[in-house]
Amino acid sequence: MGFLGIILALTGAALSVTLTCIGSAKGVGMTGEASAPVMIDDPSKFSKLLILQLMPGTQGLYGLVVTVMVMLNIGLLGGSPDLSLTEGLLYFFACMPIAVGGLISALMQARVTVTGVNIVAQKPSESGKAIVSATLVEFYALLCFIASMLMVLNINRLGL
Amino acid sequence: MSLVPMKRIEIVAMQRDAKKIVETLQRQGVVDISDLTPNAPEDASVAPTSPSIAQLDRHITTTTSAIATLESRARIKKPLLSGFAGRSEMLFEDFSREIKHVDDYLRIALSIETQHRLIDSERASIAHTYNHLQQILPWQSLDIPMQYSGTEKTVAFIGTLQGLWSDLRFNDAFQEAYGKLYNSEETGTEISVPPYLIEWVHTSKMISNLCLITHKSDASAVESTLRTIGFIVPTDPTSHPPKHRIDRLKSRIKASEDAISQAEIELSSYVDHLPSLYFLLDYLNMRMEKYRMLDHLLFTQKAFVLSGYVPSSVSENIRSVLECKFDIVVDIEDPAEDELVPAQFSNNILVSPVEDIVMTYSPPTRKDIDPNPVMSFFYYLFFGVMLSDAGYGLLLALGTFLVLRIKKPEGTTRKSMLMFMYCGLSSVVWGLLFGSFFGNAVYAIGHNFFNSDVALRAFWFNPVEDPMRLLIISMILGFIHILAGLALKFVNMFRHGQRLGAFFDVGLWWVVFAGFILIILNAVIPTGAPLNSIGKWLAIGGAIGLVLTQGRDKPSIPGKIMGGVASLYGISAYFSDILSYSRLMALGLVTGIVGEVFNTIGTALGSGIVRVFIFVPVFLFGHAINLGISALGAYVHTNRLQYVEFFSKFYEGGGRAYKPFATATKHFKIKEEI
Repeated sequence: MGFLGIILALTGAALSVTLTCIGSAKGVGMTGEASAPVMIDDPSKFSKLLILQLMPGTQGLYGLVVTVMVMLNIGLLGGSPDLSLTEGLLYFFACMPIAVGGLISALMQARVTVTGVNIVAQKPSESGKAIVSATLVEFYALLCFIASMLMVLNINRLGL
Repeated sequence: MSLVPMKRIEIVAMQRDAKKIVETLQRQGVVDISDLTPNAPEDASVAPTSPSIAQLDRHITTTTSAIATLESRARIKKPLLSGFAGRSEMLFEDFSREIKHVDDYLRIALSIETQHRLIDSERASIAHTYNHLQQILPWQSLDIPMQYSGTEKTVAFIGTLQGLWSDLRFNDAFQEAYGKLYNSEETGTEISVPPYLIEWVHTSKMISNLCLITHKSDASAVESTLRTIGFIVPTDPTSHPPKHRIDRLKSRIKASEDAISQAEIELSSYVDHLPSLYFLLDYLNMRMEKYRMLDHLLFTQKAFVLSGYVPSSVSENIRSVLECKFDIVVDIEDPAEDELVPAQFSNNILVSPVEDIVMTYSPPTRKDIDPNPVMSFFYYLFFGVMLSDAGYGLLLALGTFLVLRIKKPEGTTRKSMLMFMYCGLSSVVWGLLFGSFFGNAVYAIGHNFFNSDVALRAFWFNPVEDPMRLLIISMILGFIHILAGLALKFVNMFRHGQRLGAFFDVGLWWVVFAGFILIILNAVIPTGAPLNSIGKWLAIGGAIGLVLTQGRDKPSIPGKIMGGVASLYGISAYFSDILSYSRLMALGLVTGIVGEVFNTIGTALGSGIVRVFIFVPVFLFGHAINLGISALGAYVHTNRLQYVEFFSKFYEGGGRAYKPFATATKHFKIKEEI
């Protein structure tokens, strides 16, 4: 019976979307809190602040994509899910890079965007630089995402 | 297609012409006036313009505020996207005619502000009066003055007690308090409570208002007893019956309301003057600019000096305009080597939209090569790979096209709209190559609603099925991007005469790269030719060349060796640069998969017509969110790839953007007929 395998795979998938979404929610929230007072002074900075605020939000999206890929690959979305224990464990571990890396990178990125809000407040013309600094952090979430994706997509090929 | 060549312009003219010359320059709008005046006479000084500036500033504040007051009353809903709209055009003759009325317009603005302030103060007074009224209203049914103290033989107490009171509760409390105060416990005698008459004027849960009358001889005892149970005399008792004061306050509120509606009527009669006020604001801002500019002039007793930069193409034009109007010396020359000349790009309509991206990074100096032509190609390309959906691309391109067409924006707004339009078109191309149109919408709708298995076939391949292929393509594109950056560096060094340096710094890296490519090619497609060993020796040869040349700026021999060896560390930098382009694949996949997820959710529930009703809102909402986030991601990460991976190869920046002194108007574009 492949129930244990499915349970493990789903645990990984659930962690992947949950942890990244926690990180993103915290990050977007922090940046939003920081930008509100700036908008009181100058509402026209809204669009620049919005870009900054959304940046730590992408990790949740990466987590969701990995979750969906796992669900597709184990046949949970249409098909007959049947998984050995080993396969389940493999899916679980394949989810870990984006789950952990996404969570932490979202929090770290949020610290950059929060200070970026200061840049927008004082020198709006330099806001591009704040955004670029934040993408430097985001890149590590992307690497985790790519690693998780490639693992998830290739587990089938092992023929276990 | 490059940086606009600039000339330095220096003007010496009579002081009496100063304002007119500055006005002429402002209307021409091509001279970037700088503080730098190398040939200024020593006794020159700056004109005292601050009083005029302060006054102008006040006028501008008044006008801005008057416009806001009128706009909120005009009840013209600003249409959506009005922020993108360009200015309306105004002929110069109209402009000169309007200028004569400026004083009238200013008077209008001032009287609008007066009315506005009147409304504000009347509103404040209404609020204040209303509070007062609320306090006195409970006393309304009292038909004697609140200050009433009694008759010859009686004393009246008028005041309040906290909470809800009745005769019964009062009797008990009064008796108990009176007993505590006046019954001596030692003797045990009980003195009876003095007689009183009480009338409850108003009672509520919070407070009870009462009027109590007692005999004069008992007055002091009753007063002390009342105090102990919490009786409070009002702070501001009326000398007439309270009704009198209530009427007075009500009529005061009425008067304020009348004054406000009067002022509102007056204000709405000004609504038609809104365009005049827009003109006034533009005019005042223009004068402000002019006065600020006068700060940059150096005056001697009779003459003044002005210097700045002007694009060489129009420099002679400016000279002739100035010389035919004024007694003036215009000196136009090439700027010196070390001068920080303001930078302006000049590119065709495909390339110019990305110029602001470069300016945001850092304006170029004259040492830099214009990165825009090469960058714009990669910019649209990468944006397309990352958004990679034909539907989203179409929406983006159509949306920006409509804004451009209908709103006719100017300047940077126009440029960024154009940029996103090209980016959208590029996304359409990539979306078709990858077979993505709102995710897998064609298949999802066909399969679930029409029982057909039509799917949009990818013209190339579907990245969701074969992500490795997209990853490799992303890195190859990245490698080409980096090579292009190095090529620009080569061209730039060559152009500045560092031919050998160009070969050492760029050519040798290309040799190393060529070696690596041969090795990789050999591994992928084994041809039998000795590509592997050729590649190996090329790479080693290039590396040796780098070690020998990269430390050449260092003064000492060990320094040269260290610098050379350290340069090989660049290999790992290039490796991580190329890896960085994997984001092209990641973001492309995210767009596609999230789109598919929303299509799946939308078609998962219900059947028949119910399913349509669930599908449509999920589809619209989901794809709107996905388009927003994916476009944002594509924009941000495309910028990063240009700034960090591309510019680091050749672009230094640190210059100053060309900001010509011009009519910085907000509402009207003044067209001068020549």
